[in-house]
Amino acid sequence: MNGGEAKTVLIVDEDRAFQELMEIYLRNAGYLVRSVPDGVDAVAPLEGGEVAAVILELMLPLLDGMRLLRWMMDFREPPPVLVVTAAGEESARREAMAAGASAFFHKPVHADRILGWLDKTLGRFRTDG
Amino acid sequence: MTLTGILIRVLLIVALIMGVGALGGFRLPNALIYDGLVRLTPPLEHEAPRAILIEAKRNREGDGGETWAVLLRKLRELNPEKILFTFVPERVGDRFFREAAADERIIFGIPVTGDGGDRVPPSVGPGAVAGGLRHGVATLPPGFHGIHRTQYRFVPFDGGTRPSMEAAGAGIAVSGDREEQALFRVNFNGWRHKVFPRLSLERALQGEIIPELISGKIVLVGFRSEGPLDRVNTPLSPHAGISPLEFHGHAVETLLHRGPIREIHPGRAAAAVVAVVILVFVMADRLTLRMFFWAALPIAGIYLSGIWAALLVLLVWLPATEILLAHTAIFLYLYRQKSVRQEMNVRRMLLETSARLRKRIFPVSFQSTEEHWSQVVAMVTQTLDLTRTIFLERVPRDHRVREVKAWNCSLSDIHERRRDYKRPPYSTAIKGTEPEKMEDRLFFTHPMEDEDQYLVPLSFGGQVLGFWAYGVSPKRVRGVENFHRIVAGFAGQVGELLYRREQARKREHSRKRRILHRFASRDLPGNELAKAIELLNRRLTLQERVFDGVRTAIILYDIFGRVVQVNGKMSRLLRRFNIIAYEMTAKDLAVALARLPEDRIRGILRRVILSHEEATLQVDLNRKGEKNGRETGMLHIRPLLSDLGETDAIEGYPFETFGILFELYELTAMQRSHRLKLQLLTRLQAQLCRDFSPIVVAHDLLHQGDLDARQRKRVDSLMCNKIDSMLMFLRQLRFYMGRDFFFNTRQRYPIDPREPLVHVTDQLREKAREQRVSFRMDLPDYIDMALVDPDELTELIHSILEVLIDDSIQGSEIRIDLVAEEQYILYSFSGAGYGMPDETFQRYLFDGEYEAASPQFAGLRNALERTGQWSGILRATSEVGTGMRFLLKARRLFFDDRELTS
Repeated sequence: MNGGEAKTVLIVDEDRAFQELMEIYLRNAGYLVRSVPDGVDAVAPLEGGEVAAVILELMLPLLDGMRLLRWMMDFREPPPVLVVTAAGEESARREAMAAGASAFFHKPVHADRILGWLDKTLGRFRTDG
Repeated sequence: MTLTGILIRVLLIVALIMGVGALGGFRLPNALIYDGLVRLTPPLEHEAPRAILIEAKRNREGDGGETWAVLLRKLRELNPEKILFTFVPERVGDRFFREAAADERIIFGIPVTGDGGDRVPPSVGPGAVAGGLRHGVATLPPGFHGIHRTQYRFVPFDGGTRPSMEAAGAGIAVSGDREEQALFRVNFNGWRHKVFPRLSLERALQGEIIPELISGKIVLVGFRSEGPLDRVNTPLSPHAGISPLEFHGHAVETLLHRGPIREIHPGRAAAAVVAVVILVFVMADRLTLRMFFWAALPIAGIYLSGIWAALLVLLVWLPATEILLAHTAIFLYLYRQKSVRQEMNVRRMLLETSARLRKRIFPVSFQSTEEHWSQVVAMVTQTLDLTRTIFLERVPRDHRVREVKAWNCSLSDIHERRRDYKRPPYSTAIKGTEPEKMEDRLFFTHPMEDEDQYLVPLSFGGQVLGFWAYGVSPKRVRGVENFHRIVAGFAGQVGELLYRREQARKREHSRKRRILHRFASRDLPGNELAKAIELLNRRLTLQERVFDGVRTAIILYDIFGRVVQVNGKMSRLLRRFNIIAYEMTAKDLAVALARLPEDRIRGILRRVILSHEEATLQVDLNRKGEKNGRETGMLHIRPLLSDLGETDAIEGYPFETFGILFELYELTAMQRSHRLKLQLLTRLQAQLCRDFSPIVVAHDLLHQGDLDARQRKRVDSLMCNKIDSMLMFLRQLRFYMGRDFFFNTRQRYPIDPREPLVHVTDQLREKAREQRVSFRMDLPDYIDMALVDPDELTELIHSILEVLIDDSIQGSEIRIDLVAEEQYILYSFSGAGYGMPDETFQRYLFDGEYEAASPQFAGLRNALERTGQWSGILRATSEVGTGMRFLLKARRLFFDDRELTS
């Protein structure tokens, strides 16, 4: 991996297993990872400004992903958001992209695709593999 | 009666009428009718009187030539048509008579002295001129019942005749001597309100005669009437009368101008009566009994009008009484014949109908064995747990009862004196409405312990056919709800069986004495039909109940599209859409339900009837008064075809299709169920994707190979857990997808928790608008499913929102929030309203003994009582001046073993 200072990726997903596995994967790839289970919990780190990118599930219990996305898009410099969701409706993709998501993946998705998007989006490129 | 017999009787009636008429039996009624019709005749304006009367006092008869010669001279100068002296003036001299004899217009009436056989031949003037004078007899015929309708043409004298003064005036010579020609009917038509012009002798002598009054007229010179006795009653004035001079005026004018009323020849009169009879015959043959009855009176009126017209126009008098009497008598006779024949037809039809109905309702084989009575006894005994039972039937033409079938007892167990059904306890039991309990004197001779004895009449069609006596334990009676009503129900059925038994016996009997049986009673057809109808009624009632109890909504139409029967389910369903099936034809209802053009529906129905096709149409309707109350259904239209094997049942029915059956299937619940299943499927798919996602990532990590041992172990553990979770999920998937969900089953089912909110707010939006209240819903785009009874949840939300709408102040919002939190899906409802003290509010909601404040509160409380069944929890608070707030917790669906084990 080539790059400078490690950047923080925020994973917003209620599925603890997915959170933890993605944390392992991304940390091994050189990212700082922070995970929260709900949109409400994501507010504080996002307002802190240290988040470089967001991996967002739309189906969240209290503050759902779409609302959080719209909220983030009101930032002066909103972070790039990758929606990775189990919501299978095509309307969800259109709505998320319209709301300002940078990319949209349906679950299940291979971790390397998520990593690839992160690297590309955050201006990092990988020399290995 | 045969046609010949009827004809003979009719001819006898006609002969009798004509005979009585010929003997003068109808003279009086004919005279009265004649008088009435004459008086009814309107004045004939164009016919001015042709006669003028010059009246003198009786004492001037002997005035001599100074009066009568002068008068005659003056009259002759004025050129009259005729001059009739109703007397012969005295002391007038020869010259007077010579002048009169020389003028053929002058006629003298010679009064007769005495009457009848004492009439004295008249003498006219001096012998020298008597032979040249024109004269006739001035007299009146005897009136009939005081009314003078006729006048002599020829007056009989000593075996010969002399012309009357009127005949002499009309120039009629003496001819025939038959009495019937001697009289003529004076024509009074149109003279009810007219009189002759009159002039007194004095004025005539003074020259006050207007020439035009005399010229061309018949001048009658006579004496004025000198009192009521000197007057003649005529059809015009049956009570007031006119003077004889006036009567002579009418008579002479009748002969000279009006024409006398002729009487029809007896042969023609008989022909007229026969024509009347023939017409009545034709009417009786062609018209129905009712029309025949109502036509009789107008026809009689027409006859009377014809008689009047003949009198008025043809101057012919028809035998009115004979005609009207013949018409009435023949009408009454034929009417009776016709009604008797019709009644006989009805009686025969009733008997045949009864027989046909019986044949259709009872299979003949039913009565061929007594075995069914054993089954009946066994059935009632076992069902009612009786200690003993006996069915008794009445012995015909006797007071006694006899045994039909018994169990655990026999007729010998009933005391000899207790077998007379005219006496108690039978008579008491007949009057009672419930089984008669034998308390004072037991019915069966050997009482059992712990047994009550009862007696029930067995009736059918209002007739008591037998009795049912039974013993039963008092505990059993108390232990079975409506025991006596059940017994009454059985008694009704057994009564019917007794009737069938009686009928079977009668049929057997009638084979030997068929004719006697048939005519034994006048009321037999009625009784037979009443009983057959009773049976048919029972059968129809049963079929109607079955029809009504069918869970599918159905309407039966005849092939012309008219409603034959609608079942309860269909009525209730259509009422919700404000449709009244009985007011619509099949086409109209199909148009209303399917919302298709009339032509298309007509084509569909045509194919259903003619080609025996079936059709299925989609139904989409709005519920009454609910803008968003849409219902979905399916209308199946099919023909009811006759079973060609049962030709007896459709005898005389020309169509192969008996009717059209509409079956309406309500699919709204099914559609909602389908929608919920689709939602569930979508969620399950999402869950599958969500659960599979960590496994893919774990696979990627393991495949990458740069994990340390701790990480590898952790990844392995997470993956195993997820796989277990997925296996559980798949089990759940099978569980829910295999469940047949309908709203009335009251079962928990995973639903999108937003769905009932959207549904109820749609329903109540109109009401909220009326109260100027709006809904503010903050629903998440994605939320986990709730595990609820969808119907109950919907009803509860509906009740909550109704209470909030009622409480809210105008212009406020009702806020609705929905979130998933831990184990629950949380619904939050709050309104800015008037509120109430929280203590009272809690009582309204949760204290069953506290009367609800409004129907909405009552509905909410009802819904609340059932929330526990689907694990719902409701908390509510209220504050005066602030409003109300409801927090509803529904179970959140987790795809793990929690649900399957719950």
